[in-house]
Amino acid sequence: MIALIDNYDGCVFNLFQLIGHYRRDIQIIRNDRMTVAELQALQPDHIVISGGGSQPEKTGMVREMAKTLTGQVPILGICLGYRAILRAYGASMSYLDEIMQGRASRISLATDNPLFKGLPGDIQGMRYHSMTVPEKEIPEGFRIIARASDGEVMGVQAGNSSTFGIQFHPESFLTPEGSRIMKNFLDLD
Amino acid sequence: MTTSLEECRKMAPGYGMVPVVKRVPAGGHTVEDLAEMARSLSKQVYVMDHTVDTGKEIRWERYAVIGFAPALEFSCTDGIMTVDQGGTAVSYPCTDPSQVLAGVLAAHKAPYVEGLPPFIGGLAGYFAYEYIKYAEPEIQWNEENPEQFKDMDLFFFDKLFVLDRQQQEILLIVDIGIDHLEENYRKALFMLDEMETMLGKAPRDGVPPFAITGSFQPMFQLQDYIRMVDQARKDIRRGETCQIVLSNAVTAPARGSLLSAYRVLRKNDPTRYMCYFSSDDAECAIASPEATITLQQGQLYMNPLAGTAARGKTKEEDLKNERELLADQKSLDEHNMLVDDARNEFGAVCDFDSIGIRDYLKVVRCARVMHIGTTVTGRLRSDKTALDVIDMTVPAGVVSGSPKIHGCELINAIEKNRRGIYGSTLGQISLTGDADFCVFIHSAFLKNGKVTVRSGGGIVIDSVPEDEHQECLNKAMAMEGALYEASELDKGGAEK
Repeated sequence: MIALIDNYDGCVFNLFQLIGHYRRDIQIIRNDRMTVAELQALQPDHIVISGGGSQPEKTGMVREMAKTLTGQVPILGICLGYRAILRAYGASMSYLDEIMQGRASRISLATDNPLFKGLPGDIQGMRYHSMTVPEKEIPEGFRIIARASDGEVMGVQAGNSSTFGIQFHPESFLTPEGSRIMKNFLDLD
Repeated sequence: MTTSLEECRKMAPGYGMVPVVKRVPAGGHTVEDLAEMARSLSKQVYVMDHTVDTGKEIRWERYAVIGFAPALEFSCTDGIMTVDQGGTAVSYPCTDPSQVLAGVLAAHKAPYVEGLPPFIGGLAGYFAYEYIKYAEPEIQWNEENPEQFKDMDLFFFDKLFVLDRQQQEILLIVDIGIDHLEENYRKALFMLDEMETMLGKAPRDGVPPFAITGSFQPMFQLQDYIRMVDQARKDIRRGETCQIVLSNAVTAPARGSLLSAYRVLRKNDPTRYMCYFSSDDAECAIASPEATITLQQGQLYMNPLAGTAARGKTKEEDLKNERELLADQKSLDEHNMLVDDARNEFGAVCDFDSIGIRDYLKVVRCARVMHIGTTVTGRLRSDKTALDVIDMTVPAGVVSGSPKIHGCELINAIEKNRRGIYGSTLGQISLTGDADFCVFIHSAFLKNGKVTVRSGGGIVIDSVPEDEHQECLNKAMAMEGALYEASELDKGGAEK
């Protein structure tokens, strides 16, 4: 089962559809409706964390879950989900000078990373964010795997674990390679 | 030509109702004429008509629906459902009005019949902006409701007049239950004769003349609105929302019926959705450019519009305005967000791999303005109905925010009052399951002796508060003009 953690998002069903192209056993769980232990008891084989219009501090069980389950279950955080993972490991947020709400950027990818296997080194990615994690705030042990043309960090991996975060939105219609990214994630053990 | 009893028998298996249809020549009857007849005979009236922009001209579509004196009326306010049958009302607590309506539709399901219009009877009316509270009970709302707005108000029609412009006919439709089919069929024939007689003989002069009896006053003054926009920008800056739509209203004391305003709008401002709704509670005149959902035999469509420019006075100016609109980054950002939001709403109710977009960034022209539009499509899951789509799509993104749930909370915290009919989703669910709804914008409602025009604008980080205030007033102005014109036409003596 794939757990799709909903941060009261406007795009959680786009993620549901993106995942659903490959796997149909998806359970959508709002971030405050379950404890980490209850989630663990469901034995998800992959966890996807949605974006949402809120602060990383207001994401229910997400931060605790990221710290508890990293290394045990592949985790992919998107947008707010990405920032919540980094917040859990101590990162502070700041604000973008130019807000990116509904605008796509060119994004360069570390194509040797399993999340981006088979993708070109430069793709279009849709962005919905005003908060960002500055490069200097990326916690130790995290590697940067994607970056936007304006220099902002767009993706991280926690060490060699299968915990990933991406700031852009693979589920958007303006991220044409998003489906491949999701496939790569679901292929991880 | 009338549906035969034999045809009814063939249609009946597996259904709760079947339509009995009689076609008569349209003669000189127009939508305006039929609406006046309807409003003269009943205070409960629903008119749905469409125009289409062919690229060369804006013309009326084939069918117009006129329903009145419904068999039932369902309304729900703050968890109390009221079912009215011919003036006798029953009320009871209800936390899930959608389930009640689903039961009604399931019990009265009718078959698709080749050659019949998209609406053959069923539910028609509106789901208010606040209807989302039933699907999302955690949203914190302002509990006060001084204007006594309903959360939904829907008629159940089992008889209808439909104007078919292509065939120049009027379809008289009576839906009958399949139990006691023969007896019901005989009664339907009697009713169809009565409806045909109405066409020629029923009065048209029972519509109370419209009069604006005072000046329009804004809900929020300039200084208030500046504070509100600044608050919204702070919310966006903090990452609480991508965008929210704030609104302002202008209200004037008024009496009579909004039907003449509807006539003026049809003449001056023919828009995609031209609707009129009247109940004991409120009257609405609608000229909305935007479909929330269209559902045809399981295929879903939504047409989010965002980004607006004025129509040019010449063809060259019109094309220049279009080019500038499509080059405006803010408008494009806002539009892209609405497209993703629409895909998301369909994502909850559609089959996997069935959602697509088409006509991306196609400019939609109305009489006075043009908008950037895109059509989002999807295949409704077999275990879902139009009511599930309503649960996902009310209130529409164009009047709420993104993400929607928190957007509604933020709007409520800033505006501190109920929107009610403004921002509602108004339209119909046919007995066949098909549906067609628009967003209540570019529209007016008359309630509690006041006529209200409420308009909104999407607030983004670099919105200028003074401009936003002015934009709401500008948007309201066209409708105010139509209301004054109606008031003068009815010789109600408008006091400007």
